[in-house]
Amino acid sequence: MTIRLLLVLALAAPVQEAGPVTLEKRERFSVLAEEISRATSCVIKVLSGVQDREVQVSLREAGLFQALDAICRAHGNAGYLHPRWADPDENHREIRLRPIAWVDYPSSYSGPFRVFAAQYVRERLRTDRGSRDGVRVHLALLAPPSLPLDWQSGTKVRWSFAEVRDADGRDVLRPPGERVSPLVHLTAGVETGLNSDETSLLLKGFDLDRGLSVLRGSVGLSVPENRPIRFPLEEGREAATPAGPLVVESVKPHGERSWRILLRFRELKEGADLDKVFLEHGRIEHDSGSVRLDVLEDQRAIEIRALFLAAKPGWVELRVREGERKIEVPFEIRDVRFPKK
Amino acid sequence: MSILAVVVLALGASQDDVTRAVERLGSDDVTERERAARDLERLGPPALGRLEKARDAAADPEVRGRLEHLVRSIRKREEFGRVFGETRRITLRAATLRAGDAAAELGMALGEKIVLEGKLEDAPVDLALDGATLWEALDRFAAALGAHYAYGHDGVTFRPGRTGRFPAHCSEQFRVAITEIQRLDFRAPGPSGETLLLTLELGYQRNMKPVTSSARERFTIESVSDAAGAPALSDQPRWGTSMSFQGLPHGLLHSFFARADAKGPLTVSGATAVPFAYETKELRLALEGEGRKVREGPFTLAVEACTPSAAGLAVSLRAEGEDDVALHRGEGDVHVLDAAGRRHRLIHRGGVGSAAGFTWDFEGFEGGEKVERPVALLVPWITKLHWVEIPFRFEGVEVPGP
Repeated sequence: MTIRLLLVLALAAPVQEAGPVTLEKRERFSVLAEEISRATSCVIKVLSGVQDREVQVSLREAGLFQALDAICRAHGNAGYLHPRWADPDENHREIRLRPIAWVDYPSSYSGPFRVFAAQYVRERLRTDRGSRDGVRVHLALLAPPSLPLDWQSGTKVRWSFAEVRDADGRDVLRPPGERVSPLVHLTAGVETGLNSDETSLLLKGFDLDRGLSVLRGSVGLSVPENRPIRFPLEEGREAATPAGPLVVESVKPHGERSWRILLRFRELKEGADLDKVFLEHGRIEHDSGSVRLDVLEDQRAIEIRALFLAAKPGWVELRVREGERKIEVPFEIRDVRFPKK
Repeated sequence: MSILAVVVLALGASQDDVTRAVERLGSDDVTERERAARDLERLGPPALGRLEKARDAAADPEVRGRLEHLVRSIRKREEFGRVFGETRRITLRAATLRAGDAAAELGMALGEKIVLEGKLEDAPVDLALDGATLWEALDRFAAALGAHYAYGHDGVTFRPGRTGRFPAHCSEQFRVAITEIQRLDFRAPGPSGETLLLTLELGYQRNMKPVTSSARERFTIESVSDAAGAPALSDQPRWGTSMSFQGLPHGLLHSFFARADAKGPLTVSGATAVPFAYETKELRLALEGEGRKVREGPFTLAVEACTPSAAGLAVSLRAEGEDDVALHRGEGDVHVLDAAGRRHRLIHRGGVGSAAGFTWDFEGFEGGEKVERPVALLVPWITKLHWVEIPFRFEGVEVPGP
């Protein structure tokens, strides 16, 4: 199995917060983790139980995950992927290094990103509607915490595959438009517990023991650039927005610990499309900090439903879309094999 | 080309017919056994006594098991007829008929819109139905066409192609079938494993309403045995972290696992246990003041919130009760009654449930209607349920090889 570093960084705009890492030394694990944290501006915590022994690394201009993988691989008993794929205390704003045996998933690094192949599932499906044989490969993209990929961030992720070949070099990409699909999916899913996006791709059948020789493609990210607008939730209060002045019309309780907030434009700028001006999710005075905005049909008002909030909320924060950053993360993973154990 | 519809008033069978059919239940040919079982089941309740005697006298445990299954199935027919009313049955004979014409006749008799895709329309078809239920008729038509079908929201669509052997058991308004089988071989850097995933479907006529959203938990698999008769049922593999089920318009799914090394064909037996509604009433709750809360049997319903909103009106309705099935009794169109006595359908926006109760949220009216002086909420509420417990025994279930 070889891990290949892609030298082509096709980032339309660099993710500046997660800078490159150069480390050529023998040092204690925690010190190296701290140096990576400093270089990448990423919060990295070493959890108790990780043996803080010296490891040797040699990295030049490595990305965040390439650097983390290097120190964890050198350590042998440290890693950041939760062993059960689900972290009950998951926190996408930081990376935690745990005392677990290092597992070398076939990976591709591009800037601060890592794309890796996590597993194969050979599927032989028989239904009265038809049959289908294939192998599903599960992949994950890990991104630095500074570039959130979750649904509230508004970031759109699009996976595309250019070349997938088995060990004999045979093209195993399937043509689109197949009709037979299972009614029931058993998911050997990949949930990293980190700031990530996961996908799976059904391929033509191939010898699982010999695996794939190449898995090449890219992940396109559309990252909204936004500016928060926070204002007090006092009836009659006005806030300036790019779509026009927005007035707090009402803040009313709706059932137990639930509030309905109606914001109406005093004057709406001509041609303003509220669905494009505002991101769907904002924040409210609230523990989990998130609200969903509904733009009403007449496009002149926004309604917010806040749940599990005992007291009347004091403020709301809407996010105004000011632009969009396109990032292309190319990946090429070679020799993807998971032999039967 | 000929077509003949006949009303079958009674089906009689001599003692000899029953004896011969019981003997055929012991055949080595699974198709022959199934045909014998169908013949015996068609005799219905009048044959129960003879079937019970044959069951008690059967020396072969396999035949005894099949007869026991038949007795239970016929009793179910009686029960369903009593609770849900008689099932529509059709008799139709079509010899070398154009499939499009046969489909038109069949659709009219079943009260269903039937669509034939591909080049099925012009295919010649032979069909002989004697007192068949909806599901029996659709299965037989599909077999005659060499097609498969989907019982959709507003009709039945037949598509060319029919693969493998997927046994089905029809019981009045219902059909239980093995609908798909998957062999899954999992590989990851650490673990690896293989399993067989089998899926059952309980299909129900479109006029029936199951009263649960977690029906997939409500099937019992009594046994799964391989070709040698060895137990083959297994647990969900550890690598399979979650399962997702596609929603069907008129069907409920249940999956279970079998050992990957089990040699087919398999025999699967078990029973469904899904509650279906058979009586509803409309409850009236005031939107404000007294009457916002009503008691219906062991359940309490209350208008939890009613707020004017930009879309017209936002209403939250809460139900609490001792039986968790009750939490799904309120599904259906909820209306608001205005001061002039007119009804306006509310738009359902979602719901939140827990062991303590369920809250449904509604906001705005169908077609963006503006409603003056709303006074009450009208909620369709299911007051009587019947647990549909259909025993099934499927033999000759072929599994894909490794």
